[in-house]
Amino acid sequence: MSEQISVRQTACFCAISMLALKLITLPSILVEMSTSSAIIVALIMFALDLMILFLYLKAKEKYPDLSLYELIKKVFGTIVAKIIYSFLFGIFILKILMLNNEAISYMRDIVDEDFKLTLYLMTFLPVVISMVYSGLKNSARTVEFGFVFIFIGLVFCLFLSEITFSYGEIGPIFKENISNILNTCGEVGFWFSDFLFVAILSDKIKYQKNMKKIIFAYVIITLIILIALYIIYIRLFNVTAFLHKDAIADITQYNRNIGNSGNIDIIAILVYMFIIFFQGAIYFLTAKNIYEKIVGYQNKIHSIIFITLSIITLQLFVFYNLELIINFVFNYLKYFGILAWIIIPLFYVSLLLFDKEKGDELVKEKSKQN
Amino acid sequence: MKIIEDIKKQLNNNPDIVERQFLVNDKNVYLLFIKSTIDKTLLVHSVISPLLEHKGEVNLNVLSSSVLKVAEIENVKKDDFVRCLLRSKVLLFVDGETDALAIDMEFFPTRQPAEPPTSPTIQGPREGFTESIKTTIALMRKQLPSKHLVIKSFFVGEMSHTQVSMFYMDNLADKKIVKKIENKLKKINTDIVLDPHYLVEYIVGRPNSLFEQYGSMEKPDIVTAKLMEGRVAIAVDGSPIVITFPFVMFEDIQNSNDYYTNSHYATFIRYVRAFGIIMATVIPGVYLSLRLYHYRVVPLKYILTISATTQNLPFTPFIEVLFILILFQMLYEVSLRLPRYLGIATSIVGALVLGDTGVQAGLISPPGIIVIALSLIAVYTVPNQAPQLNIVRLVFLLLGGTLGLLGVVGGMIYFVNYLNSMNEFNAPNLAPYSPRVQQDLKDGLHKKPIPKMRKRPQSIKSNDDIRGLKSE
Repeated sequence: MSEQISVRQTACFCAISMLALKLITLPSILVEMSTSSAIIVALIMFALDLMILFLYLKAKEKYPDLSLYELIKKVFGTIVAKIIYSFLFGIFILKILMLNNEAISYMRDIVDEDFKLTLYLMTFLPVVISMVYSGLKNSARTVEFGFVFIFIGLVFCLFLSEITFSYGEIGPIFKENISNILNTCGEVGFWFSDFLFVAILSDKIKYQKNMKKIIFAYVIITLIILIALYIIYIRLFNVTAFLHKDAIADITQYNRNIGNSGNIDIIAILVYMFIIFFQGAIYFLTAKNIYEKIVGYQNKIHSIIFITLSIITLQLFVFYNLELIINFVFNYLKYFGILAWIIIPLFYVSLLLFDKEKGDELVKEKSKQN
Repeated sequence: MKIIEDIKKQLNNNPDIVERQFLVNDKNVYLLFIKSTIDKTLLVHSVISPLLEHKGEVNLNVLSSSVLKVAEIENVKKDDFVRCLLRSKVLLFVDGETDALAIDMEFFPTRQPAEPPTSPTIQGPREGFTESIKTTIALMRKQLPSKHLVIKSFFVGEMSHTQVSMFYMDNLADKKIVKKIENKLKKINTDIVLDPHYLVEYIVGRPNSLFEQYGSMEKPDIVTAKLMEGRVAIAVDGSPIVITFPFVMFEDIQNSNDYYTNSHYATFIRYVRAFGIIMATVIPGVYLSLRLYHYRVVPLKYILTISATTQNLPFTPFIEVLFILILFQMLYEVSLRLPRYLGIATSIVGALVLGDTGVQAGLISPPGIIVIALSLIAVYTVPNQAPQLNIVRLVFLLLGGTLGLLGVVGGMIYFVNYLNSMNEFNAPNLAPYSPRVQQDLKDGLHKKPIPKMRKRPQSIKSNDDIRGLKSE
């Protein structure tokens, strides 16, 4: 249990996880699919994610030292646990690839049009691997340190965007019918389900009485910023959303002449770059944890090598651009939401309601097996 | 006397070893000492005169208890003769006795305590340590007349037998940390110890680390403040520097002046120092990445200014900035090493002739010089971190020049993570910010008034959390 992270650090992880895949392509996808009703889709998805986070934290209270793996194993046995974890491993690798592709697309659009995939990997992987190698606790401290700058940067982006923004101009938010809205929810599920890592790393989080309060405070503040940015984006680029794939940068660029300060989207660029590395580390750490559960032993070097090779191979030879991975997600991962939003939450609900066995007994069993 | 001849032989018959023989009440008494290390006037008044005036029985016990007028004296065996002699003691032998008396007469040329050049104070104590460990101990005793102050001394170095003293407060310092440091000091196997920095690499867990894992200071008021937070201090005879453990990096952003001035000003200046660290390390790398890769994010009017001054340069921006940086670094090194008057001349040649002429000749650009100069000046907002910040700056320059802004951000995260991994003696290096230690934030970037800091820092393990009386 020495590798445990604090509740505040978990809250920082949650806040960053909410941001990573939502600042670049997602707003554009949502608006393309649901026009000005995109905000409804986003709100539904956020509400679902928050409810699921609540379930995970309730389970953490009941089983402070058990992760999703031990809980599945307890009910369905090792084989089912390993099958579900194998699927989750794939999901987290894909999330890393999506993050990478979004980052590369962003870098090419905003920073340097000749930005190379290999150059990105040469920067991204060493930093993320060094974080993962130094351990969960250490990485959590680093994220906690950087979170302040991300938060200030985001507020700054929001403030700069707010100056010329009129809320009276937000379009008809119920423009689309309910089935279209729900259909979009199903399609974009991959970009959400941000708090799955809480269930996976649950045994690595220090239990604290007011943990729900702290985590939800961070999450809700981040959510407010995110929703405000979405509203601004939808208002600014409604019908031309397909032209603005880099939401965060385009929002700030739109206001480039405010206060005669010149081109201020460097703040958005820096904020997003910090998020890329931090989120990469969170996904990598979660994937490492999943991998170790699947193979049944803990070896830091083995798991890092395996995950790194998986990322490099898939990134260079399979998902080498953003369109490929987005198409793959739309075609094959449409029903990922069934696991993340229905199966796992229902499993947690049933455990919370019907399982009379105390967490302590399971911990004893777990330590015996270890 | 045969034993005296043996000792002299062991010490190579060096010319400063003096042997004196007296006849005291018909018995031969011998004095043996190294004349360059003792106080001869004191020897005459406290030892020789009383001996010559003595008319009674002559043996070591009588001489030590009722004849010699000295403060420190001990009866030593044959095996310790050489050691005592080398530690500036006068050996007194009496004919027919195998033991000797070792009389403390140490006298070395030392300077008076003065304000150290590394930590000047505007309003506050100016006294600094000297090279004599006796002065160090005396100043600490003066500053901290407490029954809880523990001073432990060891002799380290096979050749130098240097006195190393460890200071801590027995009611505050964590016993495990004290024991760990003590054991490490006792295990040091080396020839010579000239300064506490010789010991650091034996004590810390990661001796190859780029960043410091200890605090270093030259003033008793600072050491006292550190001891009062549960730290352990180490002083070495021959050096005015005292090092402390455990260490958190934020100690270098704090400064003794902060506690002798208004809290608001201290807060402001701490933010300036923190900003200085960022400027010192990252700015050249960011400048380079903006010029090379991300010129689109630079406002147009600035890009026009920069391009007007850089368009005819023969070097690439990377080579240009690297050249200016190395030039400045060389000038800095030269100004440190040369005698003061030559240093000023070199600075003029470097700054005016090389810099100004370089710009006029179109070899280097004014923005490049401004960025590097800004970065070099900013390093000295936290002088204790200067060596490592200079290296980190070079790393960021390479990252900015090759990988652009993404490389610079990646580098920042890497270094923060690296610093986080340094938890020497269980003190998180980036506390109170990473991990966030709420209590310690009172003395963080935002400094609260001293009465508000009722608790000792939580990031340093201490046996007593509350300052002063607990009942208040």
